[in-house]
Amino acid sequence: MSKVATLKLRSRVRLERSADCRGGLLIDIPSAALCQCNGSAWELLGALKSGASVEQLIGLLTTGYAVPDATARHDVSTFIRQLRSIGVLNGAA
Amino acid sequence: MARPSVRVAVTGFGGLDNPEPGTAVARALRLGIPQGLTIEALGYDPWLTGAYSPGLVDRVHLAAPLAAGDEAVLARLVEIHRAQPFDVLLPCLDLEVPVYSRLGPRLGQAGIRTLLPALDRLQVVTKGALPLFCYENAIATPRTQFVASVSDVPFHADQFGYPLMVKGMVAGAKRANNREEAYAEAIRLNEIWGGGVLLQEVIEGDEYNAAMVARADGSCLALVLLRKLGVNWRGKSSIGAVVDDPDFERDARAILAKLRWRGPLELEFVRSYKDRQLYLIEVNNRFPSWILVSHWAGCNLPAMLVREILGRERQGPRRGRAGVAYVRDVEEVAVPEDTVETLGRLGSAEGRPLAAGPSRTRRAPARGQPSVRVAVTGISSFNDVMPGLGVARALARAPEVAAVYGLGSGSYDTGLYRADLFKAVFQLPTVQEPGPLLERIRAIQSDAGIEMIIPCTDADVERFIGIRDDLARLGIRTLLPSASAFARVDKRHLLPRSGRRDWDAFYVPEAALIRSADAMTRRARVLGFPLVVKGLVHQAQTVYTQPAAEAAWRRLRQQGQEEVLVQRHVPGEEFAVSVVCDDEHRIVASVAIKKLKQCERGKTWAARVVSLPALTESLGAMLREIGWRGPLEAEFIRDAFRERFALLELNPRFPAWIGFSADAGSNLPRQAVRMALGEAPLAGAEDERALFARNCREICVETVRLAAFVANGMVTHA
Repeated sequence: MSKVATLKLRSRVRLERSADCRGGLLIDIPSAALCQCNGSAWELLGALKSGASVEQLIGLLTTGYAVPDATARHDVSTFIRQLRSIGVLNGAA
Repeated sequence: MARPSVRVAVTGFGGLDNPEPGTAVARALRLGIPQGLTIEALGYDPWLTGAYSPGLVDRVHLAAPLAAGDEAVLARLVEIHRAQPFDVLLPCLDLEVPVYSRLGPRLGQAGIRTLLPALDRLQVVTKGALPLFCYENAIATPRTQFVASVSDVPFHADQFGYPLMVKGMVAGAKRANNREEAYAEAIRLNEIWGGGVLLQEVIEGDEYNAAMVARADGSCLALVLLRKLGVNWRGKSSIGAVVDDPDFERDARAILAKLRWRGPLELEFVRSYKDRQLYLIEVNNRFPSWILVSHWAGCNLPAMLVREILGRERQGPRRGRAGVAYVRDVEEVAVPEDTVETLGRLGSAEGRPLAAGPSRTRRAPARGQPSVRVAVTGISSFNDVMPGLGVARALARAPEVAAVYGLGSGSYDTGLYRADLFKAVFQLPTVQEPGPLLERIRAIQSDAGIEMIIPCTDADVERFIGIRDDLARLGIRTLLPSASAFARVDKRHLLPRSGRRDWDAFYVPEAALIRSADAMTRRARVLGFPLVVKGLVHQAQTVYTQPAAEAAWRRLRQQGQEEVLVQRHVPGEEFAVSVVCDDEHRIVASVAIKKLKQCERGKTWAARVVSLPALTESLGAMLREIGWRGPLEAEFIRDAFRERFALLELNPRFPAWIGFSADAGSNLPRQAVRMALGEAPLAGAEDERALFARNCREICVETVRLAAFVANGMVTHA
């Protein structure tokens, strides 16, 4: 039986909405990670702040942005890989 | 008078745009030991521009060149020590450390204390030996190969695969994407450092550095961990932030333990994007040039090292705290010629006293005097120093200016963090279309009430010419040429066509625009060698052979340049004249300089004012014919053979050294503002005894502020 993995941003990570409200910034002071995010990435980060599964993240893109499922899967996978590479994500792959 | 309690000699104040670490070490000592500190700066030529920073060092001395041998080095050091005693010596250059390590016991006998690694420990971290050290100690490091003969580089590079890093045996490293780049870089690095080159696997990832101090027993006194956030064209970290990373710290401490080190040390790593593994890529036997950030991180390593050497450091192991970052910008100072001359002649000179910097509280304009809020573009020194920084520095001394605002493009604009120059900095759109630019300027005017804009890059001058009429309707003054005059000073048009004309005091060397490899070959045969090959934006290179000319062409083509300018090489000293022209295209103000020190990319880092009335008059005739209006810089070489000036280039804006015009008594940006306000130009009286010297200076920034500009479109310093 497969267990659904929950991904979550590390608790020290801060999210700050940009002045134009079209996205925001991911800030992790201990690792000096500063990432500017567009609207869709911002939405994924919002979900990851409280914890979300890969399927939930894909759902956010397919429903909120009318992105085809295959594209959403690819984009979420890339996004998670990027977050892991900067060390701001907890949780199993 | 009480004897100063801490007397330190420091080396490494040169390096221009690739700063040697001594300047930052001295700055850290000034902050970390605020009372009773004297600093003796040691160097090898009078152009130690970092040592001329006001209030930084007490005296400057010329040391014996290392090539003169240990005895000569020791004798000169002892001579300096007798005249100006110091207790501690901090060598800050890689090549010095083995020499002073060898001389350590004899220095001790002379009363000069050091904390340096033993020679055998220095040997294991040389670039050639490091891979073996890593292998023996199971430390992850990129695959590396030593190539003794540069002519073998193409063969080995092809075996190695691309991309790869080509590294000099002492310093310097560049990524090469093909055999040609690898070979060219190997030749360049071998010419500088000798001994062959290293080819190294590229690990794609973020770069991290650790600066450390090891006590005499090899234990870690303190460390600061840094992540490089902005790496410039040279591959050097111009922006970096202190991090708190337990894995990184564990690795750094473990390596230090295996090194059995004494004194300062820098470890350089790449952390792979793929698996976050840290790879050790280099070990430097001295403090890095970013070391000033250690003070802001609460762990001032140079000050701790000095106290440790003097037996006064009582604190336990410490580490820098995350949350602070540094941004490397520049400091420009006027140095009396006596200082440099005395240093060259006598071998020692007094340091520069602390001077009051430009006040952030501007003098209120006199009653009835016009006052204007000015915005300038080109406010970064991240890659090259842009003129907007110098213009802002000059305008800080213009009573006609109520406030200066910066117009930037991204978080790497170092001017964003210059609270001493700008009241606020606003982000401009990067797109070329005039609509978004005008819309943004309108919003900025609404926020800050700007009344005048001085674009300070070639591209910005062109952009603002496109919206000049709209700006005038908004009540924003500019001092811009017409689009046709702008096109006529473009080197693509100016140089190949002007060769037919003689301008009394100067001539234009023969040049041609090249659009193919065949054309390069043909033209090189006509112009001969040496030959100057110029990209149309920047990057001039002198080549000496036909294959080198063809390689330069291919390299510029690979960088996307469709056209390349080739020009006959003119040997001689370089000069520049900066002017402001009025609506009648007459020069209303000018300053001429002789360039004394230029960085690798040809930018001026030291200069002196000179009087060149005939040259300026001939330039005026040319600019009248072109129909120029506003600021401009003309660059010349005094042809050593023909004994005439040769025009190299016209730049449609102020030069980056223009802040010096205010120091030298003829403030050209101020003259430009007065002209825009309809005020008469001021009579200039240039001080020809003042020299211009620029050095790198780090600015402390909270890490979180690095992202604020992009997120909010502005930063304020008010």
